[in-house]
Amino acid sequence: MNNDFLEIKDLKKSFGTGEARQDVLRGMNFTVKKGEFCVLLGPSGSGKSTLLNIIGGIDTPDEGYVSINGDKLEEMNEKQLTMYRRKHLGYVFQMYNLIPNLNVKENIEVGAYLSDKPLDVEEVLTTLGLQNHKYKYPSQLSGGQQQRVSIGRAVVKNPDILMCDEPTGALDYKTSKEILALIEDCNKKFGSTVIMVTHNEAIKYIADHVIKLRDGVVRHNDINEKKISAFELEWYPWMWHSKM
Amino acid sequence: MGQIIEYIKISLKSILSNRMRSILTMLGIIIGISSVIMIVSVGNGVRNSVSGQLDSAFGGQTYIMAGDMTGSIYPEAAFTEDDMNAVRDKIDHVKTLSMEESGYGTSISPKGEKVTYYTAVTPQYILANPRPFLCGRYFTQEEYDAGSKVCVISENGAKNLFGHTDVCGQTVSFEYGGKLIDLTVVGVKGKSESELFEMMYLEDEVEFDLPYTTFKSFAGFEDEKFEQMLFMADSSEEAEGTIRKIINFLEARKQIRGEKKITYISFTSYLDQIMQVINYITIFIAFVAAISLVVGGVGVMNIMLVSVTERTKEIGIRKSLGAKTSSIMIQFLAEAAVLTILGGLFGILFGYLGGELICFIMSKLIKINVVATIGPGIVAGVVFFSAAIGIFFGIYPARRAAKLSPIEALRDF
Repeated sequence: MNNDFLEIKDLKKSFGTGEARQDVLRGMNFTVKKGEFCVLLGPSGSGKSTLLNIIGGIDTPDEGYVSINGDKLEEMNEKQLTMYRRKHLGYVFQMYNLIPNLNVKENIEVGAYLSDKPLDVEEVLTTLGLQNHKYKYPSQLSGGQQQRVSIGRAVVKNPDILMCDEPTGALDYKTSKEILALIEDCNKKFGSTVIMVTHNEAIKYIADHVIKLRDGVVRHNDINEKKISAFELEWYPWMWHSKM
Repeated sequence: MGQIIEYIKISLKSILSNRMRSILTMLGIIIGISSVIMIVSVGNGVRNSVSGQLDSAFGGQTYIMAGDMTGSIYPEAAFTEDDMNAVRDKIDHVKTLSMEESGYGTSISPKGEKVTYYTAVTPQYILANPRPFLCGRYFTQEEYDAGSKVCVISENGAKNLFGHTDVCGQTVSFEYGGKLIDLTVVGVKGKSESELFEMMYLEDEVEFDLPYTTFKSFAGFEDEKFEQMLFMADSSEEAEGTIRKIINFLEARKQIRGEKKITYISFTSYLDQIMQVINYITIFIAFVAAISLVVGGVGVMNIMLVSVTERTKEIGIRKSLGAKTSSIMIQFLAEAAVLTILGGLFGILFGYLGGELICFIMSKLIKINVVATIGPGIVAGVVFFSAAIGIFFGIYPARRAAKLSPIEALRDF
């Protein structure tokens, strides 16, 4: 039996019409196995976020399909898509996107309420090191802390797929590493498949599966045999290219 | 259930996080609801007070008429003393049955001549018009039968004629139609316990009641007929049946059976009409006040639209996490409903306090004791109604929120 959990097949998507038409995805193909830590690498404009939105069921492709466990998203109606997002997905956004008038615990509960099999909120708070901040509001937290809450909100749903859109994009080096370690932890501890979009090449070293995108197509699709942990990871902006 | 509590919690949070805006939005609802509550509570209070006061003054009174409600009078149906005596003999449960022969004459006293309003009645008349006695008593059946020259004078009458109220045993000279009669005062009637009655009643300088028999022989009336008589049953349960029996009896006696020439009007039906009028007035004013609720509702809709715009991102996040369209809709409806219910509760509080204040001022100004009254039904109705306003005016903004596509909602920021 094929153990591909997520399949992306001939995915095409464009925005605009006529001269303003921009082909963002031009026939993208890849598969992800269950429990994999998959990193989608690519520069800005390579179609990463669009791809993530399509996998997340909040955007639709022009051609091709996304299938999860054999179910094609294209064949789902609005209600089924909602149920799909609810049952299978956890979302971590680059800009955290917390709800400003809810405190840390309540923000995480928003995720828990949407799941049939939520994790214990207190346990998640402890795992993420947020126990001391649980009654604080997003505006009282640092960027790293907010991103932890965002991860908590996604993880507490106990999702099959944890989608991370540049989760360290707005964070400093040290905090980024902590956040990556947390995502890695969740991948191991809760068995979620992680699909992380990033333009930070260094992150590929902690992934099982690295997919490089450029101009709307997959350029490299590699399995990383020498995976390291997030704590071993080091990068400096000027080292990106030398390490590649 | 847990979900609903969660929605309410989120709504309260959102309302509290925009305190000033929420208070201003609620103000419209508060003003509307409190005006309605104030008007209804004062209206109820006035109704209770009027009904209680009139009931204590006139409760149980019924007039049997040789005529009908259109104002027609049928002389062939008119009542005689014999008719009344026959009714008293044949029919049970009659406490009072009396003619009311009244008019003006002049009383002569050491203090001069005073215009006097006399009422010639039977001794049971007092039972239907109870009054405290400052001295003495009402005239008796024996005095009535004998045509004794006695009278029961009003408190003001005693003061105007004698300068004080302790006048039992004194004599009043009464002039009527050029004839003069000396009446012995056997009692002084105090004022009615009903303040409202006393307020509305235009009392003459001197008023007294005397036995009809005395008046008849003094004035020289023969076989006088009356177009109406005052009736009261010995208990309110018997009133209706007894009146029917009396009317049947009199119709048979006068051989006008089935011609509907004898009718009656009871104080209760009269009171019902007054209460109906007060009700209509209350409902009308409350309706006018309720228009302000619509204005308040539009305010709620406006602020909810602002809220949806402000929280587009939140809606996008919730949707991308898998929140259903319906739950986004419910969340915004709940917020609108919580806003208006809170407004409604404050409105009830302020409306009740306002009603109390108006009643207090009324009791100080016109000395009528009115207690602002609102029943639990009104409170429940108002809470329900304010929730309905919230939901009605929340539907459009909530639908707008629910229809946002998650990708659009997230892209906006």
